Amino acid sequence: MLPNTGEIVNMNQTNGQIGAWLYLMQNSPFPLTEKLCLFWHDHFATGINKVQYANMMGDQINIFRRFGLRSFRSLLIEVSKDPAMLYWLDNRLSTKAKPNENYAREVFELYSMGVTGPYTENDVQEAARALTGFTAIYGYSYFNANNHDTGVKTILGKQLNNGAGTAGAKDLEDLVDIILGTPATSKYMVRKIWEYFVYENPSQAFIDQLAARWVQDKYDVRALMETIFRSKAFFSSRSMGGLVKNPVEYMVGALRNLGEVNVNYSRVAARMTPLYALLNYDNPSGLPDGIAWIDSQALLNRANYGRDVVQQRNSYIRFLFSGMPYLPPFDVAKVIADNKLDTPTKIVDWFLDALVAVPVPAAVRTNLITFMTSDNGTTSFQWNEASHAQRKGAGLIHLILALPEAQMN
Amino acid sequence: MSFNPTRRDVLVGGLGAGLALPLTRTARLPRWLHALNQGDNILVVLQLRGGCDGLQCVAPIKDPVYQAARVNFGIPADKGLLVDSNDSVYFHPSMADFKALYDRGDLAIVQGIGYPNPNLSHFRSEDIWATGDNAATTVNAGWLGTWRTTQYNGSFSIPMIDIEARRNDAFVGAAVPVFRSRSEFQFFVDTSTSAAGLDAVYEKALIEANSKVARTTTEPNLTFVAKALDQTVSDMGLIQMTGTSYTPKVTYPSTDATTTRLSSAFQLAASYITGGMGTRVYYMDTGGFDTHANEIASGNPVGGNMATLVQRFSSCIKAFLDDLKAYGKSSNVIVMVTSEFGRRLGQNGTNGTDHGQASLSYVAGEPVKGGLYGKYPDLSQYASRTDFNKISLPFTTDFRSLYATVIDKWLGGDHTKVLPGTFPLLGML
Repeated sequence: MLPNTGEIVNMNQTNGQIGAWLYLMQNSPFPLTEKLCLFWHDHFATGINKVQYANMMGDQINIFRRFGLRSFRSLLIEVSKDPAMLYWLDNRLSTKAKPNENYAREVFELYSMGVTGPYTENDVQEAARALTGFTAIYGYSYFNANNHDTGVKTILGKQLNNGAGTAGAKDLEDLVDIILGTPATSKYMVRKIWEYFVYENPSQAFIDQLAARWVQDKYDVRALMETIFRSKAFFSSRSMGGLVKNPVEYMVGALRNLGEVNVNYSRVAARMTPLYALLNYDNPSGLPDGIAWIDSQALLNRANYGRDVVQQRNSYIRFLFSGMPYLPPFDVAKVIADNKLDTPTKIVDWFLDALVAVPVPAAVRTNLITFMTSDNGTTSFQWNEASHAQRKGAGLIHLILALPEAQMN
Repeated sequence: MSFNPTRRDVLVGGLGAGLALPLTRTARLPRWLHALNQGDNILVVLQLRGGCDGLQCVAPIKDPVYQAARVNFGIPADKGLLVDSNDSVYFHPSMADFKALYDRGDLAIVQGIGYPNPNLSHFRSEDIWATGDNAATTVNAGWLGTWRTTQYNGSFSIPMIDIEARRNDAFVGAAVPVFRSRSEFQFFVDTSTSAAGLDAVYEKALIEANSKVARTTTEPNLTFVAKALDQTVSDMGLIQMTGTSYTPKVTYPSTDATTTRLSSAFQLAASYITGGMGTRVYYMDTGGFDTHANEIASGNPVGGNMATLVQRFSSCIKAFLDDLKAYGKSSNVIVMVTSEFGRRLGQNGTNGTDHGQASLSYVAGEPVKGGLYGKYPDLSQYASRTDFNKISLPFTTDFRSLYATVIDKWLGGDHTKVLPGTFPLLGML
């Protein structure tokens, strides 16, 4: 998929949906919106493996795009009625006669107050009753009053009594208000957002303060993000280079930092699958962040992706259609010329600066400079000839992306 | 620094002498000496994700409460495969391979397995099985991670391999290679031209050299990443080179893509075991057991998803054990099968079952003392009930007893140092 050259992409395919999203992550003028889409996608982790329709998954991401920076209340309501979610956690099948607790449980446990929240099994069952009748057929979401349990429900000590008919649909809003009225919700959500964007293990007192402010701001996510980004803690040294990039940040970040667009984004999507199965979570709990992303296989996959970003041969992500030439490899020589990088040291430092957020050990920098100035087995090597610069520069980017430092934000 | 190796230096000797860049080839050789398995016991864990319906796998089909709870759903009285003439439990008809293993005394069935204060969330329950601690709120240490760091006394650097898409939480606390095929576990480099090919060798060596450079950072996450990369490089050679001449001596099942994938996982483990790899624990998983809907085919209790699921894992395990037997390597290998919980006594309205409590585990292999362990949950107490789909069976055997048995009697070590407390051992090992 190449939006910039007008290629048509099949949005009925998962990789088409992911590819379009990756393109937006890299190129959207609103990167925070896209980063929050990724956060919310992990929060409301949903998977094509059960939902079955790629465009329903894309529609769910669009909910995050439209509501992800607005009130958390509206987001919870929209997600509860989202067809993909209704399929994913079975609420579409939940009726007065046969209530299904799947979504009701997760809306407490995963989507709002966390597993240590003050809700009980009975609250889960009562919430399931409140959500009966919210259903979907394919991408069409609707409230079926005939299947809604019209009785009184008691959830976390508060009563829902909206009666029969279409009025019963207000149960959803009331349930969300009860969830938001529970202090555990703001604390759980604020901690999760802080740890995603700033640093791990903030003090509880600090989170309580931020959470109180967020409640005052009526759960407005934009206000919360503004508070976070204006905070002293956000500009403290602790928030620099301490987070492990998730695979999407790593992969899209490399493209973005290099300004590379000559890739087939749906193939980047396929390449990403073993690292981070976007639109295809196995289970609704999302994925653990931080060092949980790092194991030997993940590091190999990342380094190998680093090769694909810059090199052409075997480069899966530069393929368009069979019979067509591969897209050209990343133009290292042009970067070198444009930035007047007239020594190997300048080239190394320029790419380190572009791709790595934390300093690398001096010995590593020396290794990289040696790589640029020596060529294996040939004696006629001139590093500043364009073809050599291209080849060595590509290797350099690969080597940098394979560094432990390149995994940090 | 001068650096002018000849082509031959690079291809034959590596870059070792001039720059001290450790190539995998040179670093690997001495480690073969202690890489070889000296007959140490090997554990293969298969995790059934989603909460396997034990009541449909090994069913008390003669129990009137079972038939009353699962009308037109449970295994019909004439369809089950008798497990044991002393007991009235029967295998699902699609588990003929487990029946064969049981009949030759190579299968232990742990009945009524679970833990106190059960949690019906997949994720919490998987965490509890991963940690062995039903009080922990987060996975700070997995049971196998803790076994590795506190009880493993071997010197081999890859005592555990996780053959899954992502690292299993059971390994939290210890580094473990995670891959589903050996070709995934290497650095790829560009070899499109001879010049690039030479650079490729150099690049590979430099990735390794850069990973060996000491980091002085105080940032704990960066320290973790740097160590993990160092370990990755060290292990790559062994993982690439061990067992490459393996071919299966039996036919593994391949009825559908998921079955083929599980077969591949078992064959990968078999290649390392028959190749003499010193790894002690292999871990794999297969999903689809969250059978809220269409667990059975409409009108056919022994068809539908459950039939596919139970046939898949039982036939793969039998093929694996038969394969090792044909290689003469089956005397020190066992397979343990787990799932995070069982399901309700009665079915729901969508031909499925909802999350329950007690379930089943299995331990298979030649060294296993086959038979039934633990007690099947007593169904007679529910004889007067009608809301069967609300009933979760209480556990009779704590899953930590199974882990404790595997640790004390098989892997080696003291389970009380790994698990929170002391648990009675089971007799199958």
